[in-house]
Amino acid sequence: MTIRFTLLTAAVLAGLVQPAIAEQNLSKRATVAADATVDVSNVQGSVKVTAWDRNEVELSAMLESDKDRLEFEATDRQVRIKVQRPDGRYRDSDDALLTLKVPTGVRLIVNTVSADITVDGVRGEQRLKSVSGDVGTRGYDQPVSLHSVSGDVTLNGSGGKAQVSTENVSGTTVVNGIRGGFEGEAVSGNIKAGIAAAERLRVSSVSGDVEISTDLSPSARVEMESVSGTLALTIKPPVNAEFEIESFSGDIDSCFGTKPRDKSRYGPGSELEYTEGNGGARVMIQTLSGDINICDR
Amino acid sequence: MTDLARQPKAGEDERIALARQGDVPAFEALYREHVGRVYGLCLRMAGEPQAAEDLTQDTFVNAWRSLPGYEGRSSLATWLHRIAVNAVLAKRRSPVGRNEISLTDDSGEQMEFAAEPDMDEATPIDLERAIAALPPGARDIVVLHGIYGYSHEEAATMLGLAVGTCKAQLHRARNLMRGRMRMEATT
Amino acid sequence: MTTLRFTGRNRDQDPLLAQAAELPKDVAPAHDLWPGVRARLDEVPRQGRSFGWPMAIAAGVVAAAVSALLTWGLMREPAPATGPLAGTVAAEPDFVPVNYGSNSALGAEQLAARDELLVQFRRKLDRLSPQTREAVIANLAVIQRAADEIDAALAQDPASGLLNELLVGAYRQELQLYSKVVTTNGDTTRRT
Repeated sequence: MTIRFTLLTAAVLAGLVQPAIAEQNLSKRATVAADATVDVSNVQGSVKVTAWDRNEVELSAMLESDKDRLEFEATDRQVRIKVQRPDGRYRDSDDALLTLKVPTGVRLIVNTVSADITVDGVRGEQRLKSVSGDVGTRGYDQPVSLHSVSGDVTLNGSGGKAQVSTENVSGTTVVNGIRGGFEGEAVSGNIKAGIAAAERLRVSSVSGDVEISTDLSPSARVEMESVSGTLALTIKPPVNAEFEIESFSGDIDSCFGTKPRDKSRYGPGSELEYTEGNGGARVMIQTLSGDINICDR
Repeated sequence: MTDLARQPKAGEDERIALARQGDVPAFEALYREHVGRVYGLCLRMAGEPQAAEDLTQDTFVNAWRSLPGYEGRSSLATWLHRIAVNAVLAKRRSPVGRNEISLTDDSGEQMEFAAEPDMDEATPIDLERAIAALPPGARDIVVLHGIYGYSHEEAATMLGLAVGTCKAQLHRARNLMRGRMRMEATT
Repeated sequence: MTTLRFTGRNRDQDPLLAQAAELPKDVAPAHDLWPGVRARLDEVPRQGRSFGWPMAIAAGVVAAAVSALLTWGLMREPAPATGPLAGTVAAEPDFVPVNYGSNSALGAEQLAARDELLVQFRRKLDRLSPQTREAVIANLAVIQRAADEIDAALAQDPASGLLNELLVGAYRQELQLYSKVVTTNGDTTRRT
């Protein structure tokens, strides 16, 4: 009887040979350029990435299933890591736990089905996507894009000027400590974001509630939209902005003393258009039935 | 990995599609991506920053208006440059424009050969200043062909000239610049 | 008299032009010119409102979703050997795409563009964990409720720019939901 180690391709695993036990423990290392791209795919389990100051990528992988395969391909510009699951299906207790150390300046792309993604210290561009896993990272100056369907999305900024974009369906999105630009979308998940010196802020939900706290740069553009979610915007003084706020059937409440008026004598909807301070920034908010609150405290 | 390499292009296509439908934030993203290249061209063709800023703004406003007609046959960057060149030429033709972007200093003296009394023969004039000092027809072709790499045919189309005229302008430009810059002839 | 020959390789051969080619192509203006541009865009006749989500954005939304598919190479997947006829999809008892009602500005053409995504989406939906499948279907129901609310509101105010924008926004969320599931890289192609 031939035992086929179908999982272990020598070319891929560079000579590591595992006995036929269920769990696989693998290590890989590659020397890369400081700004190489690291691309990681996993099905379930976790992906943890931390940055270090070596020009090397180091991977430790623990695969609970003996049917999963790990692929590791590296050039000095790109490292590609993929957990291959033969039938592509989710199964209990078949986690693949990937732990990586990467150079600080890499461009990081991670894609998982249910594995949680946790990143710390990577300063290059990040694109992190999961279907049901949680996604969490720190932001610096390079763009960050975070997606999940049902997992939570969390970004702790460092005050850097990273452009951040998040897409979530039902999980909760929390973003803080960033400055400059944020785009967030959710269906039923809630979004909570704190942005300093906002230049461009664009948030949209279907039913999720949105809470934004920001101070506006002089030429900022803020756009918030929801069908039935509540939109709350807190702007730190001084407030210099033109507001265009509209809701079909939701309540509009602004603490600046201005009151909304009926959009038309003949139809439904209320709107609020006014300028606070010397204008400059533009704030546009619209909902169908969601309530809208804006205030400077 | 081809999908990594293609992502930036896919992003720009999305932005163009949105901007064509009137999405201002998408247009702003395109602006940020291309303003450097547009301003660079306007600055060298117009010869001075204030006019170049106005021309750059004109270019993007015109682009917004014309975007529904952009089919993608040329790259967006080239398409924007065409609009920019049109803006520069239109400004030159207008009486106001002629004054703004001519190369005269405050007292009306031609600045073609900027006086540098202490310049000795061995000091080459900075190339950008040499280009700026060229008469407009010659300058245009050096900017489009020399700096931005458009072919003679492309540059001629953008400038509304015959290809032969462009080549002659290039020849004239090289002679004028060579004189300024004391370049050694290479074999 | 020297005969000068002009060829397309002038830039390479002529040292002056070679130098010119080295000059920076991008030059940043001293001021941010965007506010001036932005202020003038409103004067340009355009469809829809200045909010940035104009009524006709549906085509752009679809283009974005299709673009996402192209980026991830999914449009190149071979069609299944046996399967439903093109344009129809196998009935899934617990999932139907969102119905935007009779008052919406979303045309049949724009909605039809979602069909390709749906084929891919149904395949991938199968491979998700039960909890995730439920979350996805529950959120499609959220979008459906939103579409119903908007449709009812449109009955009262059919010309409302706000309502049509919100409807298109809901459609965009629906497509994005499909795209997210479809473009997961985590699971694998079948090994032979």
